[in-house]
Amino acid sequence: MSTTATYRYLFALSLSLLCLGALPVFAQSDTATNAEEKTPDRPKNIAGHQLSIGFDIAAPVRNYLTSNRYSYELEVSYYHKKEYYWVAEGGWGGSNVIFNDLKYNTTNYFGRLGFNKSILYRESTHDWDMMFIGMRVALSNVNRGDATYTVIDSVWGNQPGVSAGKNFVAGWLEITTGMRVELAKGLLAGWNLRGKFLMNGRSFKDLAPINIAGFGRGDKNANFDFNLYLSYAIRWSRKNNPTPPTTK
Amino acid sequence: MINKHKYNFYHIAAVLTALLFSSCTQERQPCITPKYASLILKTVRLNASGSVVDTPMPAAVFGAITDSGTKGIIFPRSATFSLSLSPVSDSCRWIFAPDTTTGTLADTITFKYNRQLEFISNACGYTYFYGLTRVTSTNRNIDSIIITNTTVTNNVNNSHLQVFIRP
Repeated sequence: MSTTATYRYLFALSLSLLCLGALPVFAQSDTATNAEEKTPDRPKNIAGHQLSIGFDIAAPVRNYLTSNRYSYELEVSYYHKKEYYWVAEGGWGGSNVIFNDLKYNTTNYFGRLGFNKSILYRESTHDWDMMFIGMRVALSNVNRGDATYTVIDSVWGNQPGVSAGKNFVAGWLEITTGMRVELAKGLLAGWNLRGKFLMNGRSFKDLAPINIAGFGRGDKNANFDFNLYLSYAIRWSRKNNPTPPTTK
Repeated sequence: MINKHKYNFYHIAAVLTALLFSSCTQERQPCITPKYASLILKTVRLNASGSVVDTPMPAAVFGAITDSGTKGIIFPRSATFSLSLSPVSDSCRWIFAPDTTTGTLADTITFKYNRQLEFISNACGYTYFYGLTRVTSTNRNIDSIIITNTTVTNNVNNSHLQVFIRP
């Protein structure tokens, strides 16, 4: 990370932390209110069905700000029961490496399957806000075009060459955490933080792609990433929906 | 409850957005591993008991004989020297004189080897590793040469040749 980028990040982070400094004030008033309320019994399966389709809105911003890589990402989530959500994610992307002694392009598609488990108490059938933890299994088909390289040697002279293009399969596991809040009816927003662990890193020994959309740097076995999702949800009731609990 | 979630959401999203902007400046990572394969040779002699002992050269000069002329390196007093092999062909020649100050005659060392292209990393790019097959020399100052390790990589801790200097 360059010095400029570091200062830019620290500036933005400082602003965020300043705003966060106001949290305890709000938190105190919430605590005072909550102390007077009596916690109801935890209900099970009070919610109906929810199917949501989301788009990573951070990706286009990142694509705009970087000239040598791009990615797009979608998410489909279905509420199963007991606060478990089945999740399917997919996307595509690519990267261009243009260095003095190395040039190549990559493109790839990827898919992930897994689940999210909400860890927040659901207040009512209409409460779809959640914080969650989850796991994913992911696969990607990576295509790398011909790589042109130059072995630079100031004594004997430079030696240029071409490494033929290749297709790779990348597989990785993810653990994720995040949250979703309903900004308007059916309109959800939220973020995911992800830890990604490549399972077949040796496949990239002869030329690791500089970026694999959905995973990150191909020359590292572990990457961390985040997404900002904007989703639209459709909902319908369960046939035998139990009566929502009442606060005593 | 929902309002508190939204409040947290906005602030954590702000932190993540800061990370997003900072991570968008993609520059080439610095190359932190040795990029070039180094051939390490040691100048040695046999002592009275028959053991091989390192023999420092007072001011050795090595010169790479290239298509564009000889490119020389003068080393300070040492018994260990690091040379490069040519990535553009399967053999190369170096001249070697133990001491430039006394005007000793030079020997020519010829290296024959196989080249193997190696990808180090996106930060460092490609390089060549070598497999030594034969090393010969003239015998003005050099008695003989033993190959102790045929694989020449970017591992700078390996020694590859023992060059026996005439008494």
